[in-house]
Amino acid sequence: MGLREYIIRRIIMIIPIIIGAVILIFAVVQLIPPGSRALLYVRTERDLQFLDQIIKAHKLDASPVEQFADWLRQILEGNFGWTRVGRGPVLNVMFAKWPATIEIVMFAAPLTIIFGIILGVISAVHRDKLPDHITRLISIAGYSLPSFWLGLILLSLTYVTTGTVITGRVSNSVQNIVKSPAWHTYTGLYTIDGIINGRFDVVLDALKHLALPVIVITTINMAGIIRLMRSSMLEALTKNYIITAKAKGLKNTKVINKHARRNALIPVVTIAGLMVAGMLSGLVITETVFAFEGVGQWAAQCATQLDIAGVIGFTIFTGLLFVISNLIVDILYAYIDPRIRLG
Amino acid sequence: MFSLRERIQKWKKAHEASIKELKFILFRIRKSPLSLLGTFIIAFYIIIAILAPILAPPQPSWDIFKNPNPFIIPDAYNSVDPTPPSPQHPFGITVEGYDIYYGCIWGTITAFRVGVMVVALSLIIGLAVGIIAGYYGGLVDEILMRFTDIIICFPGLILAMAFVVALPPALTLDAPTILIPITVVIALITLLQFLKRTSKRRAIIYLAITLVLAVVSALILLGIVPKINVVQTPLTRLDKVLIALILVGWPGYARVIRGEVLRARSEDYVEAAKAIGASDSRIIFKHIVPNTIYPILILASLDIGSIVLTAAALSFLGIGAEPSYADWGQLVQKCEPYMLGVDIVRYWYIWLIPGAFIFIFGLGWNLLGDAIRDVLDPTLRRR
Amino acid sequence: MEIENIVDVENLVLRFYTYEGIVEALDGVNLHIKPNEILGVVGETGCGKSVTSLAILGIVMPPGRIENGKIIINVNGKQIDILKLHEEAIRKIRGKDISMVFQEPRAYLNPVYTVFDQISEVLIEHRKQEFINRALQTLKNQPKKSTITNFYISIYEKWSKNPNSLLIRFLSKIPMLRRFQNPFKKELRKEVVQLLKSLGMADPERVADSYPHELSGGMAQRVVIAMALACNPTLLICDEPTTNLDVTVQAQILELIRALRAKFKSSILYITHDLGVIAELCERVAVMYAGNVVELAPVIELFKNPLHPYTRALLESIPRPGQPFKSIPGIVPSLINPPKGCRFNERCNYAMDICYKIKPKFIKVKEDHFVACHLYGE
Repeated sequence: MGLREYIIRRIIMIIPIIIGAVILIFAVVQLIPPGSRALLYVRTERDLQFLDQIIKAHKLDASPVEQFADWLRQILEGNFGWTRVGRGPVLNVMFAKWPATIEIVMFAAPLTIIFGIILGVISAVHRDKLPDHITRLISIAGYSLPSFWLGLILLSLTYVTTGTVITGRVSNSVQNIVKSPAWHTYTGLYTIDGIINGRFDVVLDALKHLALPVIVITTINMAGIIRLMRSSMLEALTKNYIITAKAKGLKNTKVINKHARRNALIPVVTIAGLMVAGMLSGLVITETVFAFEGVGQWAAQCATQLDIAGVIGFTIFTGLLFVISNLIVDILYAYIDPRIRLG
Repeated sequence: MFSLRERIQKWKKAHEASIKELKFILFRIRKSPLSLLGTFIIAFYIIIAILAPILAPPQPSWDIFKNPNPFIIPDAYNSVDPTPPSPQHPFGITVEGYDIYYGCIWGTITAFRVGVMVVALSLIIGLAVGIIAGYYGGLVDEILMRFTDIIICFPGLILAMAFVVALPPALTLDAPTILIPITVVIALITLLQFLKRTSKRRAIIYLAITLVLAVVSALILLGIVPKINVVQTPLTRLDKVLIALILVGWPGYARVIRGEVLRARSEDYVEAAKAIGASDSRIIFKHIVPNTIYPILILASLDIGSIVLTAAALSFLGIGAEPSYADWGQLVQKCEPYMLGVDIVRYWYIWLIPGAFIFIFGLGWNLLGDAIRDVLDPTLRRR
Repeated sequence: MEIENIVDVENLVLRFYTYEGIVEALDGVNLHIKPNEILGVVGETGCGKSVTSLAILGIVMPPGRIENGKIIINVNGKQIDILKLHEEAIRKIRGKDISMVFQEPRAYLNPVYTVFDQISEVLIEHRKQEFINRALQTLKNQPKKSTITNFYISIYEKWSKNPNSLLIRFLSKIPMLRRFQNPFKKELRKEVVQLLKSLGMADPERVADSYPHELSGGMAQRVVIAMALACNPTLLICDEPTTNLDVTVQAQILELIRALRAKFKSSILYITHDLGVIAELCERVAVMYAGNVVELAPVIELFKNPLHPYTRALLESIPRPGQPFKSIPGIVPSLINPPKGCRFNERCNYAMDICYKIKPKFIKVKEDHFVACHLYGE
């Protein structure tokens, strides 16, 4: 089949899912009483006074069918409503807060994958022996940990050892630097921007604040990768071409690393897509614990304060993100494993 | 006719293969120290849950108003600040005056309740959908799998959050809410009848029913016929959590079962059963189901750990159980006012102890689950 | 003067320790392979043929363990017992002096590497020095030497003196600097293409760049054979290489093996369950049953004069047109609790009392004809 045809086929398959997801969200929205639902249609702060008129204008107390086209139009125009928590239109607030979240993922994702692969290989090669048991205990403990609990423990530990509680993206002193006119924002990521601006104290400070959330996210998501890598390696090691490799007289490490591992990595690529979902979910909690001003913290506050527009907007966006990341992963998979393209 | 002993022997013989499997699973569990640890942890929690009334007796005398529901943590003192652990209150007291020890003990029962109910109900729905989709295949399969895909395309916790926030305080089952699902189900069955080419009469009857229901639902949706309230039940916050988790959880099981049923469907014994003329439901229940669901049942029950973790996360965010309810996540949430400051260390007992309960609970289930998953994976066994 | 045997397997005992019990897979196997001959090993599925051949290579898949016996190979004029050798030492022999061709070629090739990658792997492992020198020679023979060429020459001279130097290994991991390996790789490629051509491939360049799943069964098998012959082994073990192929392809491969034996003067251990192939290809044949070699004789002798009751039953069961099918009654015994005495006793027409008590020894009955049966005892 060829890579291009495969990509087109996959994209076409996504469309009904997106449509269905939109309908699902609409159904969820319908559950909300009309008064709160009106918030989904608010564009500017002024509109908040005129909720009744909004209800009439969009027929929010009429039948669902009438509302659907209207609601759809709102979404496509980019109006996801007004968030009380963020004090602004949902879309704008989300985009303003994304860089913080991306910064965490930027560091956590590679670490999760690298550690996950290394530990998974170790676990598989020494199956049922001590390294295996230790690694599995670490990984299982990792994802059994409630993210908020781990976060609070780390916070407390840093306080006990250093005397300060590290929360937020940057400390107060650096906050002033970032808000000052001398600072140029390029990406919204304090680490990158700090380097571009030449202010390494900002970079260091940002890294200091990133460390704990990154540790939490990495620990919890690492386990999934370790487990998959382990079973994938174990399966690859039973394959016949391993016997061939041995019969060629290759060193055992070479057999494992060159022959088994590359085949075992293939399924792990797919789980990278699911990992995105796991991280997004985990970030909601983690950012809250560390008061990290990212999308996750905003979403958590929306949930707590029943800010409907915020919650719905966040759900739609993460859903979209998840679907796209899975699509990318599927394409990557077909690229790496030539056999997949035939099916 | 047969004596009890004979009947037991017959049963043993008929299930010889499954018994051998079970013995092998137990053997592997005994061999692995991690899974033994997991088993002990789970047993420990079960004991606590059973002994809860003894370990933390609900004392109406603590509360000014007599409190009949043991799951509501009694107010001990109305203290301004949380109080650290003391002999009367082994785990301390939170700021509103809730005894943490009491909350943790009764929280064990809550945890089991949440876990078991969510897993059981998601399993039931998932199994039903998955078996039908896998067995009948074709268009039915496509439609049902689109449903699961739609739900799976959202990250779990986030979709659960949306459900919990959106669910109304009371569940009103009014005319459209009942009619629409029934219409959809009957439409699907009609589709099935057409696809299977059963007697024309049957198919036409189903089609007629579908059309009538569809017309009525359309009328109601368009707002022409007024909605009639049929049933209304209040939903507690915990109920909302349960519903949300079930809605988010069933697609996973549906997909797994569907895969297994697809695999089993192509096996020879199904061909053989069809050749003798066995009816569909007979094939499903007597042949396919027994051969596919046992591993899935076992693996699903081990999901209890992660369900409780997710529920705790929801409670921590504040959208889970009510503030006075005996729920671990709920207790941790009480440290929220102190989270950004030094007090977080001073009032460590508010979050560390219930959090530890959550962690070890999840750890136990996940340890056992990992070991069993290792055993049931056909590519890795028999060493 | 006795010509030394290439391989001498004496009393090999191998057991698998499984959950269901101890599988007595090999119960005292005796074999020997002479230089430049084709020895066939024939037997039913599960009789231990593959396990024996892997054992000769020193590969024992867990949970198996070799409990007893000797495997003496004659390599480079020296006699070594494989079972006493260190892993390091065995590795030098595998792929170079003894190599193996397997049954389902596409399952035995790594799907994510090209054919060239996999064949050159063997060459790099065992003949690295040779190819470094060849590359060096080619570089030196270039009439016009650019600065790069001279630079390469100096690198290759260092490399030639120390093929495993850390510096070279380190450099080969860096993307840009890796280019220095190109002359080396060119030499490898020449050899691989040559090898594929000599195996009858029509378009060796294209095959070298293909992935295993792009090849047909016959082509994949030739690739595996090429891999095995890359280092001119003294012994080539073939484990049912044609069982999964079409009959026409089978004929080609057999022809190929014969030609290769003539050209390379290696010995071949050919495992199969097809008596027809044995008759056509092999010079001597060993018959295995339930973990033992029960008879070992030249092919013509075996067919004319089968001594062991199992061999006789096997030959009788060959379908002949116009005659009813004859099979051997009974089934192969379970190897977890093998029967006492001779393992064929339940199904043997000539079984005597002693066959149920004492295991028969593997003895020489005639010149070059060995049997393990009480009928031919002391």
